[in-house]
Amino acid sequence: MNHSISEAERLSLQTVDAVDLSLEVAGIGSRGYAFLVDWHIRLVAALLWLLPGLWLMSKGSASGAERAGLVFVPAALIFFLYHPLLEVLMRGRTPGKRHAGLRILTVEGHTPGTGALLIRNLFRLLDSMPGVYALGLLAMVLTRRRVRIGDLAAGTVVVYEVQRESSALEAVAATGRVPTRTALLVRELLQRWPGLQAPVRRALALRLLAQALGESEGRRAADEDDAALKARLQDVLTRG
Amino acid sequence: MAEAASEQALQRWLQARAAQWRSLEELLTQARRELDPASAERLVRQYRDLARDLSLARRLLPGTALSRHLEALYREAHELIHRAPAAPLRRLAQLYREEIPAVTRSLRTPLLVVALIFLLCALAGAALVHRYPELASLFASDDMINGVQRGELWTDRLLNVVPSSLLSLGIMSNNIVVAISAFVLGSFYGLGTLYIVSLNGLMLGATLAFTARYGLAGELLRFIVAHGLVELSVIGIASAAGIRLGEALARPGQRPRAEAFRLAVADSSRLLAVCVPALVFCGLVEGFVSPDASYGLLTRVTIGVGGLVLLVAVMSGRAWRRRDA
Repeated sequence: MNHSISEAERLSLQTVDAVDLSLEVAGIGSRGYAFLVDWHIRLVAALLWLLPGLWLMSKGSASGAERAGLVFVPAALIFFLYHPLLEVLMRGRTPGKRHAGLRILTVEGHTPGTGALLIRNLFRLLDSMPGVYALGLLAMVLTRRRVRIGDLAAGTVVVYEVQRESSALEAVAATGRVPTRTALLVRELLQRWPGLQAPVRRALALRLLAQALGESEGRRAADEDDAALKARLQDVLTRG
Repeated sequence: MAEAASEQALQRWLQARAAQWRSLEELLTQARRELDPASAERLVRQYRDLARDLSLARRLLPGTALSRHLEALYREAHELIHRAPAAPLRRLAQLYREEIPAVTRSLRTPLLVVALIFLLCALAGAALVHRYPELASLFASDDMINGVQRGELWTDRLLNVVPSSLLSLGIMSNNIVVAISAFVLGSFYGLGTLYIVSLNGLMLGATLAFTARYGLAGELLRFIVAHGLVELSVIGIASAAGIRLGEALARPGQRPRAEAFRLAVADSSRLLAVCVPALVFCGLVEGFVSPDASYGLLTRVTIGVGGLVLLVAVMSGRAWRRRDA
């Protein structure tokens, strides 16, 4: 079947050393997911203060309204200041964004400064109207870079974080008789092994084994089962 | 044969460079905590070499995990090296000494506009309630109305219900939200801000006219003067900033609208660094001083006018200027 996959919007930059970098802009789903994770974290954090506080209040001498101030106010502060505080402290990340593999950058690709992060949080007042970030979501749908009004105001974008893949170095170190490209493909196949369907990964494994070890070896491997094929692929990486 | 040779060359290059890449990765992880000068220099050198390696990897092994890994390392190193140095105190000093006075100067027209609209709405509100006293029920609760008709201002009994600290906290957070809204709602081409300004004006004028009917206007003013001068001014400042946002959207000049908007936000949001502390001050005054009958009129006026003078001094930058400058 032929699917047309729309090109994810990318943020293209050129660094000072004239290296071209291209970062993938985060989609609405990812951003929403990150927000939900953060929402749960801050709710729990606020409750962790609120509930024990209320319990302690009912035990001790209730100076009523004043104790309410000591319990409700910090809980509210935790809940509402979570985003601005963490975004500034973690330089454009939050636990939720971390989990979703996202981070905030300026449109030039730099880490946002404190001012920009505070501004984008101020405008949450607007983006969260009316109720469930409807305006913000609308803005994200309509803009090319999937930004909400707060991002437009602060000049920020949310992109997918580029992760290190240190095991690639190990795969490369293991090459000897096996061509480098093949070794890297084998590593990738092994990484994705659980997520692929059995016939697909079998076919890929056989092709790569033929590439790595030669046609005759490849034909012999055709009789083996999945687990054995996987073991052979791992062998290729460790012994070359 | 040529293919095997180039594959050999590739492998030799990879083996040679792999140690460097591992070392750079370690340095980057170490840099998250602290880095001594020697290691920092090594990191910079390796970063420069990495740029070359990245180019090569992209050419020879495109789309593989290796070039992705090198790109990730390069990005991390680039961000670490080119990050702006954190000098928070100096930034703050610059903010208050230079940037805020500059923005204040540029906001002269919006400030006048906001003041004018507020005044007009206050007069309108006063005139309306003066002519149709029953309109008071639109903005005042029955308790307040009955109280005023009896000759009691609703502010008399405040401290009996809520302690000053909570009162202050509630008031200042409410005001801060109003100020931020006045600023942020300017994004609707200024209409949101105008709404807030005119509404507040109407309510103030109406309330004054209503209390004046029963001879309580003087007492209301006495209650307001300590905190109200600064509070109204600050809401006015935030509103002027909001108007500026709306103007940037409506008349972006030669820039694209989004860019004009962004620059206006970056500029005028600085004023919130004055507005928010000022509102904290007003909240404290409104919670501790204004409802407390033991504070005389002179004290209240001093606090109110003094606060206003301080506000103007900070906004204009005159608070920091030495006499000989």
